[in-house]
Amino acid sequence: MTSYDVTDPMIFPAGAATQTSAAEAAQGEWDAVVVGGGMAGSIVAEQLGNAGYRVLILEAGPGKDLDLAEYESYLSRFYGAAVKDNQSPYPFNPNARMPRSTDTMPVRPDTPRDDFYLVQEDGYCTDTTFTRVLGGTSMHWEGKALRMLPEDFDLRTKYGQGLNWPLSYDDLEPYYRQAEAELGVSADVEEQAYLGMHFPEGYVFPMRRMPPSYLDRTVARGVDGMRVTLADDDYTLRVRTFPQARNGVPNPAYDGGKGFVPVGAVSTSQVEEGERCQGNTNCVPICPVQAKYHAGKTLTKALRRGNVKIVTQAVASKVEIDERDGRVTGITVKNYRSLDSDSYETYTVKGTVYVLCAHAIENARLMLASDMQRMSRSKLIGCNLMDHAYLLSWGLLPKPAGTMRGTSCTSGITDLRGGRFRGTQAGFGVDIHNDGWGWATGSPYTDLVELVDQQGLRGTELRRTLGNRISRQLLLAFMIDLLPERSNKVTVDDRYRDALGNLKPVVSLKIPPYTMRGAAFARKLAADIFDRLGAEDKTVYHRDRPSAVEHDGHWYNIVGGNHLAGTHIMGSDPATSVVDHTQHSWDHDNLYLVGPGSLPSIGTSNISLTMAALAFRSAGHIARHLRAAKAPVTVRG
Amino acid sequence: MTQETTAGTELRDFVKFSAAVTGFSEFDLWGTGQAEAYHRTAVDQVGQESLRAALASDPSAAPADPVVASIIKLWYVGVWYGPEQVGRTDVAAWTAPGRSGAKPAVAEGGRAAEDPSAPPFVVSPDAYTEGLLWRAIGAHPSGAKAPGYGSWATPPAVEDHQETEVR
Repeated sequence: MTSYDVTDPMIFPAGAATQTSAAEAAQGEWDAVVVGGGMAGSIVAEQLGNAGYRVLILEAGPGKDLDLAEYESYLSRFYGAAVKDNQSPYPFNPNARMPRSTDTMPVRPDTPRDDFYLVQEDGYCTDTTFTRVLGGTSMHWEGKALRMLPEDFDLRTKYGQGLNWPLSYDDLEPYYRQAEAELGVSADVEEQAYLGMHFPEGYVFPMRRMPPSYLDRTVARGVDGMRVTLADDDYTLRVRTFPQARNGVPNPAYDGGKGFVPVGAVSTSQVEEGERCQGNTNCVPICPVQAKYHAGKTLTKALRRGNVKIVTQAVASKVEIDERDGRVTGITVKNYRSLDSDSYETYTVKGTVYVLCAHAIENARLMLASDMQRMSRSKLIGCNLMDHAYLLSWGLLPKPAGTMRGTSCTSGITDLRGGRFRGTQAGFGVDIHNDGWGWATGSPYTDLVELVDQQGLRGTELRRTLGNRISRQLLLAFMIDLLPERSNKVTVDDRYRDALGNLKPVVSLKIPPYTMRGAAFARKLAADIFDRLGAEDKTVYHRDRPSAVEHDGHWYNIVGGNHLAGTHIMGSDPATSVVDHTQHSWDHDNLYLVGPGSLPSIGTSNISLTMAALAFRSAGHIARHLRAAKAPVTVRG
Repeated sequence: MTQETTAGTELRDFVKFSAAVTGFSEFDLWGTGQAEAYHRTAVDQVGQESLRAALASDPSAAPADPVVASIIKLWYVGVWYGPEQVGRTDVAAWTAPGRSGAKPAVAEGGRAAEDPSAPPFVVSPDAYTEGLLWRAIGAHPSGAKAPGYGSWATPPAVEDHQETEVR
């Protein structure tokens, strides 16, 4: 008996996320066992469920119920948190920890073992994060949904750098459209057809572009038409809006004139939330109204059907392998009782196929902890770890420009994402941050302390000075390409374990000169842009921070992008890649590794849209695999 | 009765003093619904005597009473930064929404303190969303009181300043 409205994609039966017990999960054989209830796992589960297969999702994080009440508890925790970093809405969970930017520190023998999750022993430490709750990092992602450029797929051939993909832009294009529908992307095609990106005749995005902010238009006055020369080529810059997985105004021309119905807030009852973006300026770490896509929207569709089940607080702890044929025989789970206790029960779940969708670092960590590198022909599990290298530049505009309003970022400069200069230095995209200097300096709270404590301002003078100063802030974030390097990697080390005894990920990520040449160019470009805008450059880099990188005698701070990728890269040769173009493991016939770890390069696109497109594509291949494996014994309707 | 009246007077005095130092009217301050919680927080954190001394201090005195600075910041962002944390922009950065990077050496939870000062805290979830800072900058608290779809495209209005269209 169901009391929910079957036509409404966001309403689902109460308790749907908890209806599977450990005993049920461990019983018999599922068609597919999916590790991770984030964006990739939800898409794969939903697609396989739709094809009639029985799917079990193992989610390490809490997520008693995918209900509005739990979502609102995240929001309330964020409001009340003293430290409002990008994981602050989510509860501390010793049994399935996640990195926090506030924990960024080089780990030395005397560092207390509970002070960090991501183990980094190098001088340079990344403050990058991913989120381990139901919905995964899609809970805190910003929602930028850029496609990769056609040239990103054959960077090696074109520019002699990085790696080629075993796929082309055209191979992925239909799946990009599928992902844009699932995530609900707002953008205008005419503005996105640049640097070779093309769309089928008549295609429009599901929703119209988000309106650019007043700040964007202020920057555009100085930037539009600006010319730069790079590697003997001239480029003309302009401010352009970003495609965003955020509900806006549906485009009536979508799908041949059928239009598009945005997916609202996930709930067990009708709520008026999740429709158009309301401008909460809080995409990261959580959209208060669910206007931004999160994997719960896909998961809800998957769980309503009844053949997709989920167990939460279930940490995949070991992939069991048959040594003779390399096939996966099960996944051993530690299912912990609560966030406050380290007591857990252990059981093994079995499936016809296994799909690891736990994000780049956790997929690699799980495989390495299961001793799978030994069986890998390429020995590349955990290698080629990538993340966008972010360089921040900030200045003070001559007049109030409305900073601190809008979505976190509505526009940027994308003309230097591609071009022949990529033979010698990294391409980058530029974000105009609507939320001021916060990322770089801790503004506006630091401004408050400076004005009240250091300058002694009081009363209306304080109020007026704050308003004038913060509304003029401009932060440009340069998102710089980082190529795959074998030495940038995730490993495990017996010295580092979490509360359940699972090995923690040990990360070593260095920023190579190719990326730093892009950073140095970006720094000069920022100064030129500030100059054209009459803005006072306030950028300061600190060489004593773990994010400090030296290049050509100058110090920069390179911060993490939370775009982790590349720990099980795809390719066309089992000797040089971990998965094939369908994200099928070269070494284990019934194993798929679906997620950003498969990307052989990240270019200058936030990784989620490409990951989602690849998940749709792989789901089709996994369904074919299941059809072949099960055809003799099972007939499916 | 006498006690209640005294408590009521002290709260009113606290709000009156707060209005002068924050630049917002008493009406605005009562309207946040936070007056009692903030007064109680200040009393709990520094004690009745220190608070009375701060309220009686000359707001323009240099150096100012650090308790006064704590009270102003409390109204602006809902965070109690102890008087010993006066001027600590590193602590403030750590508490601002959206900031990434390493935390300063201030005690948190059960962690051994490298710094003897007490950690800052948000008085309540509502204290964050009722912060005066956001009104002062012509915006809204990140994650609450959203101004509506497309509102970010309009020219900004901050204290004594109204921008006009750029194009």
